[in-house]
Amino acid sequence: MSQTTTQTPAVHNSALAGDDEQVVVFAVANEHYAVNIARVHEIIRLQQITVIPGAPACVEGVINLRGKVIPVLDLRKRFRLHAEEHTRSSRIVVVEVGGQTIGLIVDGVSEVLRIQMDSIEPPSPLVTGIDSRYLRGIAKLDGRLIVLLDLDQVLTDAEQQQLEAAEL
Amino acid sequence: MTMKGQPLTFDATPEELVLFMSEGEEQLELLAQDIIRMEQEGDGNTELLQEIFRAAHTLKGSSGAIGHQRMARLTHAAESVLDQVRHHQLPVSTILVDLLLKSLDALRQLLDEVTAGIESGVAIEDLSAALIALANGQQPAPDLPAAPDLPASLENPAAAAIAVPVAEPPPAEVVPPRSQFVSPADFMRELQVWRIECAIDPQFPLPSARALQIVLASESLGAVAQSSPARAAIEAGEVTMGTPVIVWLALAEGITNERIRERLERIPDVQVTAIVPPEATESATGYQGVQDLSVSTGRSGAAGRSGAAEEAALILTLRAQIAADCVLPAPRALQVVLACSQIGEVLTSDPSDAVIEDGKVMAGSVVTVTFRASDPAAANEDRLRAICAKISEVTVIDVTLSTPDLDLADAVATGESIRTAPAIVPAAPRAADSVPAPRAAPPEGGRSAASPVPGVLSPPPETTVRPAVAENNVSPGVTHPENEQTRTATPVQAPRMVRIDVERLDALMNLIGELVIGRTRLSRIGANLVGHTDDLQLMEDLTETSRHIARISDDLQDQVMRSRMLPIESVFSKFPRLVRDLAQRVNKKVEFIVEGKDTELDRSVAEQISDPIIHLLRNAIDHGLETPEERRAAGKSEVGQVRLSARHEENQIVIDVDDDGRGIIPERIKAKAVAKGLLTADAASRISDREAVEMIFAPGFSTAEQVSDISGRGVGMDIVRTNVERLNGSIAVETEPGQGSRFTIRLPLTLAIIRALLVSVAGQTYAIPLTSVVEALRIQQEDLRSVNHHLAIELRGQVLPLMRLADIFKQSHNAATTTAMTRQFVVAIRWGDRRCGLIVESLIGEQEIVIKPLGKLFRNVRGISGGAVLGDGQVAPILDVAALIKYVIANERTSGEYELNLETAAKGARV
Repeated sequence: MSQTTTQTPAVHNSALAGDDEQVVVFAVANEHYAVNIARVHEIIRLQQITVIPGAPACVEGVINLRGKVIPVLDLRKRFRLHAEEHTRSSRIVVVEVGGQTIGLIVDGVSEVLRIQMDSIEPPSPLVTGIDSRYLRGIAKLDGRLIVLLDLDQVLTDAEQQQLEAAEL
Repeated sequence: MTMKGQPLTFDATPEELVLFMSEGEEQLELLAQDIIRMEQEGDGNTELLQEIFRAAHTLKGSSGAIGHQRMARLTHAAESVLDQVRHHQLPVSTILVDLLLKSLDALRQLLDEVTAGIESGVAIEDLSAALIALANGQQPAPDLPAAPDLPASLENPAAAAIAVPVAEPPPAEVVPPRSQFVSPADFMRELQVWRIECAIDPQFPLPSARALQIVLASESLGAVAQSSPARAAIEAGEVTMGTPVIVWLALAEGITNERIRERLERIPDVQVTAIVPPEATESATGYQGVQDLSVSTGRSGAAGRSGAAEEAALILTLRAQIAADCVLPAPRALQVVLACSQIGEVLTSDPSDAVIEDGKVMAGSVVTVTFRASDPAAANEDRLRAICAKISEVTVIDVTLSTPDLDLADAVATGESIRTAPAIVPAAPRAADSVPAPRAAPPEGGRSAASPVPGVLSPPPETTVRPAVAENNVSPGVTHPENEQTRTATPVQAPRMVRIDVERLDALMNLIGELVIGRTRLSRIGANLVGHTDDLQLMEDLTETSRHIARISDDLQDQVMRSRMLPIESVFSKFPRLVRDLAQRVNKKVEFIVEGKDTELDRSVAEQISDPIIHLLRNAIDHGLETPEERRAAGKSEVGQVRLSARHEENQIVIDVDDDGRGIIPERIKAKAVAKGLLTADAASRISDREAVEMIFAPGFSTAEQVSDISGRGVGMDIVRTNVERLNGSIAVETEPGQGSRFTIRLPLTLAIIRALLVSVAGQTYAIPLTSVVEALRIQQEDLRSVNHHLAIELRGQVLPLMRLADIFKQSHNAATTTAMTRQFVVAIRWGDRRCGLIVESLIGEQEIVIKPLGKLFRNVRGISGGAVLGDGQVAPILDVAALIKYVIANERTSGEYELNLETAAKGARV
């Protein structure tokens, strides 16, 4: 498996400015989301997740990724979408955010796409139904809408939430 | 003059600096230990004195090589004192040891400058001056300033008050084998060494400039063998005003007192205060080399030659190759030369000592050392190889016995240039100091037949060709290393150690974790296949293979764990110094015994166990041991004994700190505890002696009758216990009044892997560190009591407050678990003095777990200290016992009158 550990923040910043961007597309509650491929370490099958009591609600728990214990976030919960049982096609997308390795539970990973920058529009909550803070933009591709996620925001909020959740 | 905070640059790559740092640490550690030993054993142990000198010399060489001038200078000063000590010209005294130890403190700070990159402001001038004064037979200034920023415990105000044994005149009769470097030219020639002392007008503002002029002028008269201050210090402009300049002048033909005086006093502001001619040098102190050289002078010329002929059979030549990837080749070369000096007297080396000390040695080059064995019986090849095998990154190519050639000696003596070395002489001795001799001909099997030595043996002053020498050294070593090795008849003892980054081992550990997961999957697949296939052979193969992989991954994990271990010596090594300083300060006589230094433990534990041990040692010396008077009165030896020992017991490391002092008296502890309000008088009368002694671990307790500046720093035994428990260890005390005390620390071998009790709650597994577990028991519903609405059970006459783990973590138990509540378990846990019980659904068992941090997202999660990677790759939360118990305590407080005594508990249960 890939052992990519280095991560250039420049990719993220210049991505919008460049001509096109390679993204990994995955599904959460029948919507298509995408993150820059440079952020994705690997995509693994769903495995047994250990619940950590007292963790923020969106944090499903932790898994053992080759000896490293990493947190796993459920994007459905993160986006406050209705929760659903995980299926056989559910996957954990392992990404690097803010120097941490975290796993994101998604309903399924469909493809890797090249998105033209000029096809990206600014986010609108009306289109997706999730908080526009998490979005970098929306790309239209072959009649589909693909939501580009702002991973840093996803994590920042999770951390914020866990501070509030601190109890015991 | 140097200034604090000035940025430093070193003449080395970052890798070299890292290596220098770690080797420097090692040398300093070694020196600290050996100097303490030297103080105890006196100057009788010649091997020890040699070892100390070598360590100082190596440190000087390597600090010079990276260009840390101040460090090199201070080590140089220390080295010259140590050189006298090993030649029994300076007695081992308290003042000497104090001075050397202070120098080590300063050197440590200088070493730290390498990482910090800025100057620490440590003043070395006074220390070097004091050392040099000592070497010159003077008493150092009584109020020698300690290096700044030293920990208070290391300062030693008592030192000045101690009677100072003035250096005795050196015994004249014995001249032990020298290990300073003398080239054959120097050795065989009539050597005349003059000692010239000059004073620079103390008003003159630039003494360094004048000092340099003195040295340069002396060079015009002959060869400057040594100067004080050293040449490097002079060139760095560090001569202080009023410092006398001393020059040892060799090879000064036809020189006279008048000529010297005339030449040197031409320099303004300079006055020659003393000139000691060679005849008289023998009795002069200062430059030790001079004396030995003078001895050889006595049988110079023909006599010297016949002397050489008599010792013909004892001259050996060693060739050793420095590894091509060696980062600091110069210190390695120096080590080779020093190794030879252990066996005999080094006649010549190539590269020369001076070149080596300048750091101009290339990796991959060959070091050739010719030396005269002082003891023919001891000078066998095996011994030499054994000594060299300890030097990392160096491979001995060969050792050859040579008959010194009289023609060569003749040639040298008459100053003729040597065109060819006779074939029988392998690597003919060269005046390495001066010769830009390219090692042109690759030696064949150690014989440099007809190797041309074009250089003329000129007197040894500074040469400008050293870089060339260094470059030339590369050619034979780099181009034909394999050839040379394959030609060696005996197998080469290559060094078998490598340094490795701990992070790399951690990465390895993680990969092994992955392997473990893979292995678990494999066996699960195997299990799933049962019944799905009829191919029994295939099934068997699969089972066999997965077992095989399981075994290998277990072994692999074990091996990596082991490679993270280091001997506890790394922790213990600094204690003799500490004990010495403490004993001196409280005026007690202490014999400090260290046992089990080789006991290995994980690096992470080693890093954190030092403080608790220091605390115990302090206690033993300050409170445990009596004063010499008290001991005499009690019929004991005046010298108290403190013993520190380490050993392995099962999967633990056990560290004992013993003393034969007054022991802990239970009555005193009780009285103190009552006085401090920790116990009621009533309770104190009821507790056993053993319990009373355990009170020393109670928070806020300290038995010192007077607050001493050693132990009375508000840090009590409770902190020691907390620190030990943080490492998942435990501490216990045994004591016998009048006989002494023994503190025993038990620690897991590693912090990364601990033994834990696995329990299950609401379908999830949790790990409880076994060190916190008192016991685990099965309970019935009717065993439960309610004390002010809190659950509790009675356990051996005491009330144990209980918590449901599921409630703490707000995990809803499903119907099945609720109904099964009649069958449950209690795990009694302990943190410090507090105990409580956790109600769990089932006990899974004990297991070794690998502890992993959970990361930022779980920073505020309470009650869980980390994640445990279990044997099957699953993660289990590890309970934070301290936090859980604090939670119980907090709950008790909020509920008001929560009383922990049996009567109320029983009443509550009946209500």
